[in-house]
Amino acid sequence: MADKTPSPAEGINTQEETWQRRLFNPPKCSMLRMLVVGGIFGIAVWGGLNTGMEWTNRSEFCISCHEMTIPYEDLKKTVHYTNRSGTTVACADCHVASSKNPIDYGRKATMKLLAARDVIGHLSGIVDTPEKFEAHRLEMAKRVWKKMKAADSKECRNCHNFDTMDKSKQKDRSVVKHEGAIEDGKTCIDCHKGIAHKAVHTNLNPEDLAKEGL
Amino acid sequence: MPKRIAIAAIGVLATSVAMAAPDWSKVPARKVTLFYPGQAGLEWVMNVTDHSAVPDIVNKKRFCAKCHEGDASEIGDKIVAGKPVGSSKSVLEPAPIAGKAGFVPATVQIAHDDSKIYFRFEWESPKAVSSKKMDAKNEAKLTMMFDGGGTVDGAEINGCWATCHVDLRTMKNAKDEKKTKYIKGADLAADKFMDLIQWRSGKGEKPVDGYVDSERHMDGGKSLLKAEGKKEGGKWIVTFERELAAKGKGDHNIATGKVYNFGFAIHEDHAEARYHYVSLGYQFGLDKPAPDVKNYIDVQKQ
Repeated sequence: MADKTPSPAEGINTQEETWQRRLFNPPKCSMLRMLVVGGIFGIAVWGGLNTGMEWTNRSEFCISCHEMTIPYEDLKKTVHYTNRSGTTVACADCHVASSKNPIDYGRKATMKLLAARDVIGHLSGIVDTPEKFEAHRLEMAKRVWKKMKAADSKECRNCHNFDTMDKSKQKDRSVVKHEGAIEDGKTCIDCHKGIAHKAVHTNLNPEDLAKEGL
Repeated sequence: MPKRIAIAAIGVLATSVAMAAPDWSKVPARKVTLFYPGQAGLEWVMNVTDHSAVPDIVNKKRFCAKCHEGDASEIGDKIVAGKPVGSSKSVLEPAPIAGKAGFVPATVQIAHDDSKIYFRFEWESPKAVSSKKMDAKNEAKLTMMFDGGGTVDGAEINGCWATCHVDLRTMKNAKDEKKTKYIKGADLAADKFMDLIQWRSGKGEKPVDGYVDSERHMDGGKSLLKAEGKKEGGKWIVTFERELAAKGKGDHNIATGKVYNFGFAIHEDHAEARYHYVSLGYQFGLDKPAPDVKNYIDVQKQ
């Protein structure tokens, strides 16, 4: 009887073959296991990311940086925060633009990453006092207006829609202006600046705003 | 001879029929809200920083009433209280009169026959609150201005604001306390002026038939035949009777086929100058229906 015990070298080859065979030709039970494990892993990762996204989208999280209490207090004085029907918006509704479009997660994620700039601003102390915040308010506002304009005011349109507006409940000037806006291809932020925070666009000449594409 | 007498009698009868006041119960009544404008002269209206609609007014020829017919009362309430309106930061009434009403709802009726046009205005007199009588003789005045059918630049949009500027007496940039209404680029010979007629409530006060070109003239016109007013239960009812034809200096000829731009103002509570209530710009034409034009009144023959 010949000794059939494999040499150490042959043993390694056999293990590699097994690994490769399993990788490229896995047994049926392994595929199922992979799907289950992969699914659970995917749910954990995606769920974790989404939970993290939503948790950090809370206004409480935003205003945990104390300078953000300044624009938040602005918001509380507006109809976007308190109104007769009890609807309200959180910071993220406009500044992260939570999308109703499921395939628009990329924009949401990008906006979230860009929000890191605010954290840098907080850590570097560039806007950490009301005076510093006011000094940079217009610059920050312009940045937001530009983002909103580039996105065709998606942040507004998530809730507001020309098609479902009841013109009979609008003032004449609103009806006329909305008709004109549709005609001219204008977007919400072209006219509705300074409605959720302290208005600073009024410090600028409308012609200067137009020069900046705002 | 009897034939001549008969012809003369028919002529007299025809004239008297033509001169009879219209049956106002058969004339459509248009509701118009007059509001307190304070120092909102033409230059303020056309300043984009104060009035965000300026680009549309200029580029789309958007007339005032298109946006503001519905909220004229709200605008008047803010201005009269010394508060800014819209996106403007300007206070348009630096010396608010406590308790003064911000607006006056009125009804307007206009009719015509072969030779004359008739106007009837009715409004409830707001509560008198002024401590001093700026115009001691007249508790109320009603003034109407109209162009010659598109002859005054901008009047199709702004109505009377074509004559109202920030450097007039009592206005923000006033330098001459005698300076009254004027039109930029006025030309009497080319009909670039506003015809002006006025009723005054004071005893013995005569109707005014004037015009506004490069300055305001309170005489010269001869087309106004009557301006009468009476107060019934707190309501003023004022009527004008005017020749369609231009008869004097600063009179516009009113004819079929044209659209005339007009506006009117009410001075109440012995007020003068800017302390009046004004209508937005409106239009009228004789037997020329235009149901789609919001600020238009079709004047029907009676």
